[in-house]
Amino acid sequence: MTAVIEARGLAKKYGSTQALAGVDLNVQAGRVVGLIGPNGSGKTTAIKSILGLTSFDGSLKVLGLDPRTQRDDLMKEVCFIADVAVLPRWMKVSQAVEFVAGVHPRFDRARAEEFLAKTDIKKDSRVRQLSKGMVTQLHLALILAIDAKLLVLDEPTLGLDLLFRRSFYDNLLNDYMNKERTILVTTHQVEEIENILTDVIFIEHGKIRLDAAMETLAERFTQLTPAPGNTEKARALRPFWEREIFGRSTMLFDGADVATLDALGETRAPSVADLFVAMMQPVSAPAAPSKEAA
Amino acid sequence: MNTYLMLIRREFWEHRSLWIAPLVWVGIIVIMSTWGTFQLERDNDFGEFANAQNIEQLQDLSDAKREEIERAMSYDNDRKQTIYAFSYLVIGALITGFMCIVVFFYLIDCLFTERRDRSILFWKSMPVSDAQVVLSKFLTAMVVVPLGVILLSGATQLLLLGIWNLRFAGSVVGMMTPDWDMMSWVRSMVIESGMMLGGLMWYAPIAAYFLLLSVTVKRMVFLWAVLPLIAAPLLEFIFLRSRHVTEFLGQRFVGYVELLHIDHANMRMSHVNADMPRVQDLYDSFQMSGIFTSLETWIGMAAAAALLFAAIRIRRFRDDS
Repeated sequence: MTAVIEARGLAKKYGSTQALAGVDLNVQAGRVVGLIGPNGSGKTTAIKSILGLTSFDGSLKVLGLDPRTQRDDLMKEVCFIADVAVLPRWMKVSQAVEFVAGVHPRFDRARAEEFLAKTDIKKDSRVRQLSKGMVTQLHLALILAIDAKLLVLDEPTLGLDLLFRRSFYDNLLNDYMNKERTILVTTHQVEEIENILTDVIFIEHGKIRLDAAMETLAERFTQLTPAPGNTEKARALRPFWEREIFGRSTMLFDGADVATLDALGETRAPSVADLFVAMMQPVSAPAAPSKEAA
Repeated sequence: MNTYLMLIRREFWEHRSLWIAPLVWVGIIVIMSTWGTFQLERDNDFGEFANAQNIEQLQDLSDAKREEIERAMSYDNDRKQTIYAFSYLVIGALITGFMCIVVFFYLIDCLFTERRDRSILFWKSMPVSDAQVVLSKFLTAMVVVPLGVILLSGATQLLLLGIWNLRFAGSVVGMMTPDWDMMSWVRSMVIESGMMLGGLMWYAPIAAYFLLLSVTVKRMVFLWAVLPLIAAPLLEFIFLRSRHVTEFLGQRFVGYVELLHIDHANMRMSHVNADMPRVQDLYDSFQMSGIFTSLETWIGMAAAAALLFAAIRIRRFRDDS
């Protein structure tokens, strides 16, 4: 099976800053992949490389095409939303639909209009007259009506309120996703998308820290809150992260035996947000007690 | 082809000044001309002629003046047509000159704005190549707008002609003006179109240079477009005491007029000149073949192609996100 995205040793430097340092990626069709990292971690550079928007070193194929040399063909199969601010502000809603219908061979105008009809967006409004949420809805209506194989979303819900964010992802899953389509999404709001992801990739300082299917996370990682008196025993099992709050420790283990951990306290599968924080701030020693705990 | 049509439509959506400004300008020309035509008073010769129904009504007319008017009235239609032909060309020149200003601002702005407001990411999310985008902007400026200007110019000429005829019907001025001649008007339109085509070819490298600036500079694009043209000759003269840049720029900006080889003898315009040119002479005074056969024109075209290629490559490979 051909990977939708296949990268080997993907690297990119901005001056002396190494934005990507030999990234390997393999994204299969039908997956919803979250590319998650702190600011400056290299996720936007990775996405720009995938979209052929910037130069890079290493090997990268997207849908079997080289984004450097075959970008024009690639964009027939790929859609992307960079963030809510990029729709031209002078453009009317009707013009946006007209334009995409005029240049995109895979655009279904009726579908876009059907989606827009469910919103409060007026056809003769200009983008600058719309709220941020409406601009996102418009952009989404345009994108959802394109029969693309890969959808790339870079912080698509930045600056939107919770209702719009929830609605955005609901629409995405209900109206876009199927077995042949793939979504690659970056966001800071990890907790809001973890339920829709099939795979998660953590990136930091231009390197991949974690690349795993969501269903394997619960098998691999365990969160333990040791019972009083078991904390030292738990530490002996070498958690890769520990946090102390209200006088009680919480630890994360990678690949530890769950039965052993169960015997030491309360265990559960960590959330993606917990894992992300743990991996980005690997604290092996107990954190300083909080004021409340003191 | 459909993609190009849509891209060009998009240009007119975004840069509404491309069609609004020429229409406003034509509106001003028509209003001013009409106002002037109907407000002619008797305090000058022409006003007096326009308000008199026949030459007998003209008072205090010297014999010499009377003779000149009678001669102008007696010209055959072929000579009288020169008046209209010249008017057509002046109207065309007024609208074309204004178009140059509008197109200048369009060219320096069209690839700059998309980077400033980050909408370039939206445009780049569409299956449209950078070559198509850059060429559509060049075509808009150098083909579509000029075509519109030719049509607008023709329509304005006919409109003003109708207004003038309405105003001067039955007056002494009316007797000096010719009958409507479709062929003369068509001929002037052909000459105007030829001059436009030659001008577009001659100035293509300048247009491409402005596009290149638009895709390159990060801010103050107007200054980047204008300042080097002023500063470079000045600096050359101050430091090198030479004028090569001035000569080069001068040749590139006005060399087109030289290549037209206009016979200015035929351009003298007076209703009362004994040697009033025939309309054919006026048209023959434009020798446009020089533009199309000039090596400089074709070197300029090659330079335009190179500059456009550079603009396409920069838009394709520069990280504007």
